[in-house]
Amino acid sequence: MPESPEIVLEVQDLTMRYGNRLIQGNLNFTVKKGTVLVIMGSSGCGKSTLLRHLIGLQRPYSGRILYSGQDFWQCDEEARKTLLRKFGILYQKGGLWSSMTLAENIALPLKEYTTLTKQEIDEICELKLSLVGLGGFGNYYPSEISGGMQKRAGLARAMALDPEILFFDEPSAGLDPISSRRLDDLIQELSASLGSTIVIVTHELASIMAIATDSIFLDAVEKTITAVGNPRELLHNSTNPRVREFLSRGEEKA
Amino acid sequence: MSKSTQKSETVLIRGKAFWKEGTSPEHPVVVLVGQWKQDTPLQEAPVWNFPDSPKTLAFDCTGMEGWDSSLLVFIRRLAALAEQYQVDMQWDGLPAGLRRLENLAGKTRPPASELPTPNEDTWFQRLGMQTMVIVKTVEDVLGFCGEFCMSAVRMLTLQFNIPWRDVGEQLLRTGPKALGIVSLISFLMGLVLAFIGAIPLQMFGADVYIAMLLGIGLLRLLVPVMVGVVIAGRTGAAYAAELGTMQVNEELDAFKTLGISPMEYLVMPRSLALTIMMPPLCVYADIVGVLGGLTVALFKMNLTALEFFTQLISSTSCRDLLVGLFTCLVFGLIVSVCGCYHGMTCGRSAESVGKATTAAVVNSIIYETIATAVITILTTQLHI
Repeated sequence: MPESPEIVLEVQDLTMRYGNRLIQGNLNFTVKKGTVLVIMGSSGCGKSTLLRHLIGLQRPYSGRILYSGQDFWQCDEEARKTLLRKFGILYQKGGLWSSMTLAENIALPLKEYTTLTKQEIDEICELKLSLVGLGGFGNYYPSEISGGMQKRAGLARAMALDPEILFFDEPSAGLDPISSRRLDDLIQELSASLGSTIVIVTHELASIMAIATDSIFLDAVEKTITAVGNPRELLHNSTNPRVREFLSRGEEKA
Repeated sequence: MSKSTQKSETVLIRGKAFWKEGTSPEHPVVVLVGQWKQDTPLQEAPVWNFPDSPKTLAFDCTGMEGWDSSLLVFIRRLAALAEQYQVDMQWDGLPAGLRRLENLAGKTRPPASELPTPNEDTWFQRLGMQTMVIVKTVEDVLGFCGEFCMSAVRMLTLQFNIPWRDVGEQLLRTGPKALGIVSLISFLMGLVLAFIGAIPLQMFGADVYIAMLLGIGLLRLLVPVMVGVVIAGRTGAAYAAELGTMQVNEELDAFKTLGISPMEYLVMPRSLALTIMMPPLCVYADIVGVLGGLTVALFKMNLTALEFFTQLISSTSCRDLLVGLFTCLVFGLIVSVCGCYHGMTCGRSAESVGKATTAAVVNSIIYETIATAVITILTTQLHI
């Protein structure tokens, strides 16, 4: 009998607010090890805000965010740093540091968190760039490469520390369908090979259907999660009309 | 153990690996055990240099507890060696995920011929490129100034709608909000000038002429220069950073594609506001500066306020004030043109915004100094 997979991330009764404005309330969900969770929802429903909460950029108004049972906001500075080391984050626009070359971008987390030697760091940088199809571009500055390449370089940096959990904010935004598809394949391949858990924020239906093993739907009207499950199944089985409308690109009216 | 491991040379690797003879010396097996992670401590391992010219290289990972990219780095090193010695690497002993990653990394590597080569120019090429940069800059500056003048003429002849709301906002930002720092600096300027001036004047018993020194020194030169420097650092930098950030965010492009000239919509209100605001700021700074000097005259030199002001009025003419005001007006123009020029020609990264801001302030101050010299020489030669 296989043991049930370990829960990597657990969100309990999370409420998010900007000032007096409620973004989303009473969020409860768990992410199991090795799965690909997609956070979906229409534009402006709070997807990116939720991601900012998950990666510790924003403090929850109320509720708890637990990583392997450890509360991100209750633990001390040291423990939090250990947690952060396990994160890999791909920002919407890449978030590459513009004053550093691609190799330096990838090397910085390695220098900061590991005792790797210079040679190892160089080799790992080259390896990660090769993994995203940018082998040989280490000496380039982010401004010298295209937007799609910046995205991939951002992914290489997110993977620098072989994170246990990878967060993606709109990975396919601003990419053509083919590049976007390739990025999806890459994400899937990487998660399968390294066994990382992946949390993706996106409203790109093609990506959602292709890579999600699990999903949550943030409802902009009810301001909470109204659907949980595999999106391919949700499309047919969900009882919530808004979820079906979203997943069928508006063909099924709510 | 094969002979190859009996060398004294060692390398440092993450994790543990052994070299084991397989079915024959020609088919050795690399045994990987323990943790192969980025934070595993470095271990010494003997150098393997394939002296027995094996035919294949197999792997045994049954004793391995965990791995990440540091293992992949190690395997890729071995693979490079294997290729060099034409040894057949047998990947099937390695974890499936690792094989897929290596496939991905190998497959996506562009052929060496397609890789862009880093620029290695001769000094002659660099000289040429630098010259072209200078030519381009001169061209840009002239172009900007030309467009600036055209827009200014169009604005003054009311050929386009001046965005008054923006002008008002800029007036508020450059004027009233700068009063604090202008007060502080001009008061201290007056104070210091009076202190220094007092030394020679008291030697000749000419204490009362401190008012003349302050009047001419502050009104004509020091106050305009100090206000100019403060405004260059405060407002010029703000203009450059603001427009530079707009450039990064493609806001300037949005104006251009809408057919709205950023020169008319963004630069003109700023220049107008700063140029209007400079003379009043200067008058205010003059007053505060003279008060600073007065403080010294009253408390250190035992002059009365009446003596001070009588001397001030009789020795200082309206001309001095006007020269100062004119200088300030020119400075307003210089700072706004420098700030806006560097903002508009900013690159598209965070770093270039910083560079634009620095360039705006430095160039403002350089041109202000040049302008001061020209104005001072001209006015004294013309006895103004």
